[in-house]
Amino acid sequence: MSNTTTNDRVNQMTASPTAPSTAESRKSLIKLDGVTKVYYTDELETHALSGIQLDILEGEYVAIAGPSGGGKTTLLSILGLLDSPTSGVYLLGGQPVESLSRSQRADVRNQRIGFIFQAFNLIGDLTVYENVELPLTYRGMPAEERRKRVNGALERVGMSHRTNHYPAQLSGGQQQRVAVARAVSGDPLILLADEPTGNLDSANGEAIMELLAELHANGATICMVTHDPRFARHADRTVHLFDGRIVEEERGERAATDQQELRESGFGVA
Amino acid sequence: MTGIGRDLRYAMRMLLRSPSFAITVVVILGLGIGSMTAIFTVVNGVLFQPLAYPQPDRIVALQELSSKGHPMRVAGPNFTDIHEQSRSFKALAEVSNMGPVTVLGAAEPQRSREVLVSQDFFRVMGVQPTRGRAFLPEEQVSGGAPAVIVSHAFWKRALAGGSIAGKTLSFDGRVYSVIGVMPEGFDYPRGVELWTAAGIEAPRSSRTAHNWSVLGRLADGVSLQRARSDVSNIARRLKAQYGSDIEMVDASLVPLRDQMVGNVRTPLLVFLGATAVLLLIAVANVSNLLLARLAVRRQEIAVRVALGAGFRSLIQQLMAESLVLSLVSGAAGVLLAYVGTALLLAFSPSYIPRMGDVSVDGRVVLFALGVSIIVAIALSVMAAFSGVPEDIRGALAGGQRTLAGSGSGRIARDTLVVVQTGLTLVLLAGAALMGRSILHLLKVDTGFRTDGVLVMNVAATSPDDNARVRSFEEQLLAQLRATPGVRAVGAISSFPLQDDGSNGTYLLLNTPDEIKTIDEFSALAKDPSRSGNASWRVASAGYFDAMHIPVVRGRVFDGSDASDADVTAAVVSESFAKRQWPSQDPLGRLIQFGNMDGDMRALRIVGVVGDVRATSISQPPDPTLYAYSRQRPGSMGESHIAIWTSGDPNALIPAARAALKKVDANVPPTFSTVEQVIGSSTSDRRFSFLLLGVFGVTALVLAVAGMYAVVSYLVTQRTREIGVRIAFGAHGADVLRLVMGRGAALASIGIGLGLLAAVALTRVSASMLYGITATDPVAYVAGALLLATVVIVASYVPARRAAMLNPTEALRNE
Repeated sequence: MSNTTTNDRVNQMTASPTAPSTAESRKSLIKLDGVTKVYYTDELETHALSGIQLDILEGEYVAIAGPSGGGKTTLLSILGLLDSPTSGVYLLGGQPVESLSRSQRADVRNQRIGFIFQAFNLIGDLTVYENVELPLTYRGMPAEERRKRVNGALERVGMSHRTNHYPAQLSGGQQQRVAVARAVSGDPLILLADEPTGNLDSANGEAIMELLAELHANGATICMVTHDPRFARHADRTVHLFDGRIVEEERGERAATDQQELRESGFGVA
Repeated sequence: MTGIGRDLRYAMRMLLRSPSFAITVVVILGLGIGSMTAIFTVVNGVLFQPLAYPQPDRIVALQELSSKGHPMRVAGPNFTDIHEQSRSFKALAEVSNMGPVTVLGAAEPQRSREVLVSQDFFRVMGVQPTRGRAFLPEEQVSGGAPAVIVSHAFWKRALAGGSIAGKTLSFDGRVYSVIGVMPEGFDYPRGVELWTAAGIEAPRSSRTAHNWSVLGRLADGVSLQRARSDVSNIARRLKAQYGSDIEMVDASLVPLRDQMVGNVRTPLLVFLGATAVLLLIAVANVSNLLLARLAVRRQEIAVRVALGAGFRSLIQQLMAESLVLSLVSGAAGVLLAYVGTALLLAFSPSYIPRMGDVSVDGRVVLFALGVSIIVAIALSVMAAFSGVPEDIRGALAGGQRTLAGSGSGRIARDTLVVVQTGLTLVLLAGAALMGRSILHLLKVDTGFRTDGVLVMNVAATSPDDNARVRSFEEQLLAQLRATPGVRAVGAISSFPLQDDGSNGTYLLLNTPDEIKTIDEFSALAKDPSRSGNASWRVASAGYFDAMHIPVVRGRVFDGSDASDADVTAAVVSESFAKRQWPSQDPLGRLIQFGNMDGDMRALRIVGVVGDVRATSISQPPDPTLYAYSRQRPGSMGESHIAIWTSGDPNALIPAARAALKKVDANVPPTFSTVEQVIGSSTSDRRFSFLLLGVFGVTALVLAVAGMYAVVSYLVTQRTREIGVRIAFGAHGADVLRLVMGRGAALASIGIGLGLLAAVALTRVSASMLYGITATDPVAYVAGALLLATVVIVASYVPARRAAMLNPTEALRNE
């Protein structure tokens, strides 16, 4: 390790993932060790995250839950290399990411991470096809390969009949499907979803969750921020964040039930 | 229009709450309105203001017309005939500018310009001396008592503003009684300080000696058209009567104001047009700012609509804001116009007449107000069509699910940037054309030494006394030649590029004594195979050496050319020799140059010298004949001494002044360097370049600001989109390309359209160019490259900011 360069590490991170088989054989995809994030504003020091220890295995479906202001989105930003921790170690695919340059982080995001946002964040000037194609163009992928991947991704989310439409011509549920297609088109190591159902009605929200479950069943690693216990139920494991700390980790159905209790106990869930 | 007062109050409150926005708009619009108002101030003073004489529109200038339609000054006998035969004028007068003379008899010797005027001059102008009187009829006859009327400035300066009774002044070899003082500000012809009676000069019989400018005051009830018809008929009759003895085939009348400003009308209107373009750029710039501001206020406006504001009241509110901004900018523009006008007056070249009439007056303020109102209307219309959100619900929600700006607003902003860029290119191309013209002019071979020469202008105290003139010149040249630092020295009757000099008809002689009188000359000169037209100069022997004018054949003047020789020596320019004797040797040829200096001796060509651009640096050299000043001193009353120095010419001025004082302490000199003479001769184009350059740079700054604002706005509007792109792996270069690509696309369209507009609009400046056409590709490419570079740099700054965005914060951006 000590002889490897930063570029080597990026290359290693961006090598084709090995498909997970069983839980026992799964390797750690993400490992956070003592991660903290402190914001300094007007001489105020805000600890958004404190001493986070987190392992996400290949093929795992993890939900991050907690009240508003608990640090969920900050954690997701750090996981997505959109932000950097103030201290602690973040290993992605076994490689530390702290020393990556801005450009290398862009490469990692482009090739290993897929984002799904609450507000969809489709680009209004681009067609459905072009939106999905966007990450692939930054990868410098040949047009034919892009076409195959975009069409494949749109088929997976059931939007291949709307390729030439603009986002404004789609419903919210359809837009989020396109956003999911965009996230998976690059075949990332992990999908990071930030409240993916937050702007959808329950029917559309449920449909998106089923889509994520289907992707997970096919081997995708997913890390989803949600405040809705019904949706957290889909995850293998739910990590509860409160005041920037992981206060509890639970698995499957129990995780969802406990989150419901947490909500009823008066914590303000967004 | 109800509630306009409330809207205006609200508008002022809104602007006071956004001082940076208000100040930016006022500065930009103030620059546009101020520039246009400043130039309009000059245009108003020079072109539009009536002349400062009673009923100035009744004063006209009469000119002879040649067979080619060229206007000419009027020959004495022709004037007399028109004067006698025409009934269209209340008064008709001859005017002949005599140039500078040395005036003695005042507190100190003076160098002043003299003009001969005939009896009716002051009646034509409608102005009489404020002190003393005008000329009496007996002072306007040949041999009459010499009398002079002086300008108010001369009276104050040279006569201490005291009584003129019994005062006399000596010049032109005569002693003149001072009989009057003209009113303060009377300045016709421009720069003249001494008006003397034309009648005391012996009348000339030649109908081809075009010596007189003629002014007339139309008789009551006579229209300009009727007077034109009248003088035209008389001119045709005279032509029929005198045939080849007269060159005039027709006559024209033009209002005096038109004649005075005719040469500067086009440049001034080009400058006014340039400022109009600058104002358009400023309006486009401000429109863009307003659109961006309206986008920010979309929610506020939607709330107003939701609360029941009608379209009309909304428009009224937006118009009130535009009106307040425009009026404040107009006021700032008037202030700027004051400063700009002062600068224009300080830097304007002498070729622009009537600058003394230029001032910020009521008409100028009205102009600024009118422009401000037009700007307000333009901004209001733009705001009306772009300010009211169609999607009220969406505007009230204040958000969008997808990441794109409003389509119509974006198109409007893009269009404004394109317009700004295009118009800026028009100004830059205009400035580049002027700059290239000047570069071409600077490369022109003038035919004489262009540095290291000091030019001393002196007027002999007795210009009509040939012996004294000759003695004065020879002594002065000897003194100067002996001055340390002087390498060569010579004198000439008209210095190149400094004054027009004389030209006239010459006759090729077969024998030296072929003609004895001017009538014989006139008769033979009708034969075109023996005659021609050329410039007439009288020069000393050392002039050609001092000015580095090469001797091509033969020799220049020397000691063998005795002053009393029966045939005097002449040197001709190359173009003269080539034109007259294309395949023959000019040396030894005999020439008679009419009555240029009252000397009817023949001239024998002893040498050929290089051509010189004497009348204008942009005009090809005139064929010229040089007579020898020792033999023909009659034209040397006013002479110009070229002193070639070994160091800084200006450093030699005290020594030159001392040398002159030794010869004649009564002659006041003026000095200039040859560089100053050349600079002055190109001052019209340099002034045009300076003005268009200033406008071009201002436009460039506005265009840069416009592009910066639009790209910054684009980045602000698309911050979240940029965040998404970064999240999906966009590198800094990708974001730079995305943002700058938009700027580059807009600039490209603007430059393309600007090139088309520039080609169409700069044609009007064709007459102001030299060495290039109005479609000179180098100028256009230079302008386009400069503009493209600058606007791309302008878009780089916000693009760079976008590339460095923190994606987390960008994604949070609403």
